[in-house]
Amino acid sequence: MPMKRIVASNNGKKTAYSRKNYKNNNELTTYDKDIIKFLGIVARRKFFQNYLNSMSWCICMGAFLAFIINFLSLFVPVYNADIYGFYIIAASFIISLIYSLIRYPSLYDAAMYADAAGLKEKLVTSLELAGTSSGFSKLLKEDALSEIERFDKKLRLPIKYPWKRYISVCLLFSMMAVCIFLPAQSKLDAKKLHDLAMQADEVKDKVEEAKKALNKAMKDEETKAEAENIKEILKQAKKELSEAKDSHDIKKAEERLAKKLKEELANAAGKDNKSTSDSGKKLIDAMQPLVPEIDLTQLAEYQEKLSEISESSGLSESALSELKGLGEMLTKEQMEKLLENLEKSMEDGEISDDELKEALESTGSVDAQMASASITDMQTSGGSSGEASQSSGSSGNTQQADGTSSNGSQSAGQNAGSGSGGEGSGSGGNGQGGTGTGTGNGSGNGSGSGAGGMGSGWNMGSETGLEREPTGGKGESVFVTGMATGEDDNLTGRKSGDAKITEKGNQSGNAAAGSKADLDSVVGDYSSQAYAKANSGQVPAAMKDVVKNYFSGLSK
Amino acid sequence: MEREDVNKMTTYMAACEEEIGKAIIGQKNVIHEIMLAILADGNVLLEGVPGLGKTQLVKTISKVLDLSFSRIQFTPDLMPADVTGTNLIIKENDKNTFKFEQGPVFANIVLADEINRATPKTQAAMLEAMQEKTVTVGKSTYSLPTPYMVLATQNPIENEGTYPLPEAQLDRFIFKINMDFPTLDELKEIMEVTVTNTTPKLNAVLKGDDIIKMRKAIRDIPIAGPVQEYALKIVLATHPELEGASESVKKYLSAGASPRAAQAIFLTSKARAFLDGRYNVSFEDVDAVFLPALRHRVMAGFEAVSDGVDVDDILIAMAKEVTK
Repeated sequence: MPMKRIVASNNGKKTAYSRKNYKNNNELTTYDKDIIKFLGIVARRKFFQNYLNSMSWCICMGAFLAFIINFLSLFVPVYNADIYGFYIIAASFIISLIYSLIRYPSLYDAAMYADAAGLKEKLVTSLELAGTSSGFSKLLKEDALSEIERFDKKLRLPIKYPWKRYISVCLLFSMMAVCIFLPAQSKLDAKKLHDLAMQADEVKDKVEEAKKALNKAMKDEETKAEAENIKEILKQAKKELSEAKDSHDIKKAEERLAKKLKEELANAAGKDNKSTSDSGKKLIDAMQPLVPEIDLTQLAEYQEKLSEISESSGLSESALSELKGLGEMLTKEQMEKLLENLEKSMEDGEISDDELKEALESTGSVDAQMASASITDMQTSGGSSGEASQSSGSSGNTQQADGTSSNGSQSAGQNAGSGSGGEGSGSGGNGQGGTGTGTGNGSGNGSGSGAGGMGSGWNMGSETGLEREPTGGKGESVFVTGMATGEDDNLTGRKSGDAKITEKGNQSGNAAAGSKADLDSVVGDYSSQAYAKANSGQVPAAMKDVVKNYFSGLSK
Repeated sequence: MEREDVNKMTTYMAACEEEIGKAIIGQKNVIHEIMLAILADGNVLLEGVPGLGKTQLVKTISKVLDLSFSRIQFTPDLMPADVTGTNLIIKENDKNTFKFEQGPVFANIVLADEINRATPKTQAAMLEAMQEKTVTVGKSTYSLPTPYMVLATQNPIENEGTYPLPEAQLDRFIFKINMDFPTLDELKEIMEVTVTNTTPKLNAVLKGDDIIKMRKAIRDIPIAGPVQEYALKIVLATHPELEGASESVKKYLSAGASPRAAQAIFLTSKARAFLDGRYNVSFEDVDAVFLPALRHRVMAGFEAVSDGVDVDDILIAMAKEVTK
């Protein structure tokens, strides 16, 4: 007669032997309990053995991987390869532990494990017959228990240490250590690349955050168009950041982003008083993190007020544009003072040039003074647009014979020249508030025509540039007016020297128009002023380094 | 069954083997396997070259177990009635009546010597006796004595004039045991026993009733699930047509073992555990019995014959691939 079984048949499923099936089972006999207790101990031993095995495999694999990474880091830039290596090894420890815990031996496994050590399936059969005590079942369990009593776990279930794998691990560790301590150029490159990536990520994060905020702002019909534009700007910036190959590229991308944003927001603020509306404020708030150096709200308000003033005072579009651009360079107090003065000037009707000039100069800002000069110049040259002889040379910077330039703030027409015969002359970038670079090497007759625009740009002449002596107030100046339309193609002549010219508007200098001074005598003053401005926030953040580098170059 | 009873029986069985060993030199495995077959209530096919003491072995077993013994020498002209017995007309009280005259099959242990020499018709006469333990002549069915066992022998090298046993009949043998040629020492001992006047005196150690009691007890021995599975997997692994069959099985075997093979493995494993003094079947028991239980139940294919591959080798290789 077949015996009753608690676990009828496992049908190959080990779950039938789980502790759960035996827990709180009242049918268990004393024999069963003793056997299960013993199996618990065996299970722990088997778990330890499994862990040793899986750990040795995992660490072996981990150490191999870590070694490969560190070895590759000698040839390919891999940032923190050593740390990654240690992480991998630590992870392999944890993985092996988790794996072993997941596969913690069931009573079935433990019984099979002990049976394989010479108990001839007595335990697994007893386990199946748990709860029965008749016939052979009782005899079997008695036999099993007497075997258990004699069972020396340490002798019959010895813990086997996988020494070969441990030795392999040690070897891999040693090789990895060698790779870690070997100096390599790729390691330095890796660090540089990492820094670059971090820099890019930082900006990208800001862009992403701004994008999220922008998406909210986009829901508002009032600012939808502006938000769409800004989104496009952000998309472009992200693309540029992704394509950046060095920190310079990132900086450039950041600068371009800030510039475009400011322009877009300034334009937006100027239309329909958006800066004061809720949606406009939201938009500005969203973009603020991307241009932390400038208070966009304040700038928007400033520009909005300017628009109001312009409407009632008849300010020209170009003057208004210059004043708006100036906002980026002014501090809050300077903006307030300027607006206050303009409002005062407006009380008696239109704002005259002198009033505007006065208002600008009253701010105490050099940039404002430059703008003042520029605006005045524009007003004057506005009537003679198209004549190169009048526009060229305005607000010009006379160049030293050795190629360095001295910057001068001049009144319009003072240094009018034909522009011909200048050596090392070039055309700067045109446009409001823009920077442009141009190189002109050699000598020749240059001619150009321009009309009352505003120019900005850097003028970086190298020391080796050649320049003729100024004669009759002609042509020894570099044009900085942005609206000038002269092109390099119109320049003719032989090239000599490698003078490089970059122009920037809104510069002020100590040299008088057309006069010459020895570089050594002025370079110190220029440099100190430039540094002071750069540090005081009067120079756009993006340009600070350019200014400093330029002047430090001159000093050398 | 109490522990003392079991111990007593296992001691008797061990004594039986020892007693048989007095007359049969060597062949310890063969004796042990025959004892397993007896306890499992099965028939045995002994295969070996002539002169290895097959007949002597069967005679000795019957003496030691104190069972009746008969020997049938199978020849091509042997008729079924010569085996089973027949109805004879007997004149009793001036009346002619039919009386069934029992054939040699009516004994506890029947030695079917060179069974493959008889025609299939006569071989088939043994089928009912081997499986059902009965003989039917005409409309009457006669029970064979218990315990009942057929020990058949066949010569593996002489194929001329023989009739290979059909698969159906082979399947009735619980074991097919190969008798190996004795070693030098064993041969020496055989000579000492057989060519001198010293004839070993054999004692009956067990009786038929004891064997019946043991057969009953053995069926109660438990087999753990994993062990059962292992035995069944081995049987299934002999089938070349099944998925998961090993390459050698697919190549060399044309037919696998029947479910009777599984029964044979289970029962003989239990018998082995019993003789070993255990109350459960282990993997080791299955490993020990699967070969004699399967070797006559599988059919070697053409490639096995042409490559000269032995069925035993195929089965051993196959079992190694079966996971426990």
